[in-house]
Amino acid sequence: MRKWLAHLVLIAIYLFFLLPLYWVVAMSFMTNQQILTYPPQFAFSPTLANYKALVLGQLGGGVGTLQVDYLHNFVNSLIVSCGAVGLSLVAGIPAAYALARFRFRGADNWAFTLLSFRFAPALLILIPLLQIYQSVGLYNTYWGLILAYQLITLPFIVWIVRGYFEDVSPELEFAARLDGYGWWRSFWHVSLPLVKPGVAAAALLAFIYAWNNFIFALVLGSSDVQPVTVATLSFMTASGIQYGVIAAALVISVVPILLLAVYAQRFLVRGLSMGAIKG
Amino acid sequence: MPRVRLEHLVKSYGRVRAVDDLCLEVEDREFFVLYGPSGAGKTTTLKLIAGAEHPDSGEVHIGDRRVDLLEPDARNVAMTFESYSLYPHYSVYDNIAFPLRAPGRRMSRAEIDERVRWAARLLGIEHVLGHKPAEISQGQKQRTALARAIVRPADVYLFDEPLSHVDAKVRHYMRGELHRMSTMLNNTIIYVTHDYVEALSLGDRVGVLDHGRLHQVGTPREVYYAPRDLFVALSFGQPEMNILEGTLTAAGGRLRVETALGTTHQLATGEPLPTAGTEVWVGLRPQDLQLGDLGAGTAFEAEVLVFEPLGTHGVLRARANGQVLNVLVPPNASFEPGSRVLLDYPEDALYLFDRESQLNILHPRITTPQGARDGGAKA
Repeated sequence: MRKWLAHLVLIAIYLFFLLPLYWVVAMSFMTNQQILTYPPQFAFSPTLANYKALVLGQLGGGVGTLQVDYLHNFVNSLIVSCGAVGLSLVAGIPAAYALARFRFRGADNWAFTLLSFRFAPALLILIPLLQIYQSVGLYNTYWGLILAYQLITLPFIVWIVRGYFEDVSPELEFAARLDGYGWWRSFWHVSLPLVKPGVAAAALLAFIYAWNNFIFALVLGSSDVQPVTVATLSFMTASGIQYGVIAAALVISVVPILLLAVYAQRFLVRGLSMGAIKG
Repeated sequence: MPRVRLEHLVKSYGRVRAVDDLCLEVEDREFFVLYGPSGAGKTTTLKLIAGAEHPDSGEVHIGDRRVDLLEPDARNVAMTFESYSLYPHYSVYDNIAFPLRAPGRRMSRAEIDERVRWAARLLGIEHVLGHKPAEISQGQKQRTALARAIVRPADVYLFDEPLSHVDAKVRHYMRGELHRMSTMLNNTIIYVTHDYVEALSLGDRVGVLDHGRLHQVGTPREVYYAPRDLFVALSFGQPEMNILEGTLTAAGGRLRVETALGTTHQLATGEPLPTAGTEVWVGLRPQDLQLGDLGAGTAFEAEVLVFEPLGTHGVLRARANGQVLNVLVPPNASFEPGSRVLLDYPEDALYLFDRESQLNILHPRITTPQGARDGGAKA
């Protein structure tokens, strides 16, 4: 009886979360007409027109065609997200190590400042940031976005990886020092391999958040550098909202993250449960 | 020239002086044991030698080099840690090979392989070379840690409590192994332990450490039979030395000891001894107390409290004149609690410690009939 109830609840939860997903995927294979039919149709003849429009960059509207280079935006997303995570790893892993290993003045303040980027609203800094970017020439550049994205990705890397470094005994590093390895080599051969799961988890999470970001890219760049999240907006045309195309764009944009998450989910679970949430 | 020389080393953690003005010389190819209770500063001393900690003041010399300002990887010191500190992501083989692959060493793959297998064979862990540290037993981990230390030439080998986490059964066997290994290694070893049996059995010399200070340095015989002070005397032996109150009095130009057992002794000595009237601690080792009357007039009656037959020996706890004593007796004896026994001891078994300074004031001067007791505490 209890088991039945549990199953029932689970099914309800699955429906709640999976139905929208299903609906998006289904929409991506429908025409706008089919989508807007009420009551919604679950049986329909699928069409690839939406995907075709995205790949070809030709968006058929009521009044002529609209040029949209969605694939370019997709590449932008890859460049900016990978770049942001990459930079965060390069800067964040040493920072995490320092915070875990050394007691220095202002260490905790520094770490919390970093974390505060995660709970301060982005709008708070966007306008000044835009002005700064325009005056120093970072506006509408990949580097500009990658730098702004550090506000999203760096705290993840530093906080999660720090917990991992704290779990690595300093004695291990010292053992490596005695075995004849300099500081840097001890770090490279001993400490770093041991925090690999944490780095993987943090990088994955940071990547997802970077990929999903909308507001930074919307304000700090034009369509030259804008990622898929912003590009999807352009399918709300004057002649109507292209629900089908938007759905197809969503499906395409979800693919890389889905692949990554499936590949790295064991790191993710271990990384989150073991690194960040410690004692 | 001594291989390792510590000069007035001081190391504090906050208000605690872990190592307090430590001076020590360890000879070349010596097996030196640093012995003391936990918190005595043994591991800190090793860390100061190895370079994990920097002394507040004082110097560390290895060979003819002063090393306390050098980085750990420049000191050419090998060390094992109490927690083993094996690299969990490497196999046992790679753990042992790790120091040989260090950047400065430039060893060929074949050479490395040969040395790793030599060390593994010496410690009997050849069959687990392919395993990760998480997959092997405590004893094997400990051997791996030892192998990683001895696999390479070093100026001094530091072993920090290598047997403390090993099963009691394996421990005796491993002590023998360590003996064998140190002979093979034929090099300077500083070995830290809180187990007095290890200290006595392994060391060429033993340094007794407490609160960061050396109480005595000497051969196992010296520290056991001629303890410099009460602390050293109580540190060796299980059960530990019985300690009773006593008084020194002068009688006709000679000194007499009155013990809390009610026994008195004329001290047969022409040497100058502390002034009469000195309050002393009288020490008697459990194995020096015997059942029956030895005929010297020092026998006394005691009431049996507890008897523990322990297989190889028995421990009898008895009370005499209000004093509780531990006595080592044959294991096959039987004693009823509450019954009375006659106990005695040979006079030369007495230790006397000044109650103020805690120093041993008598025993080093007693000549031993069998030559078993080496005289004179060396500092």
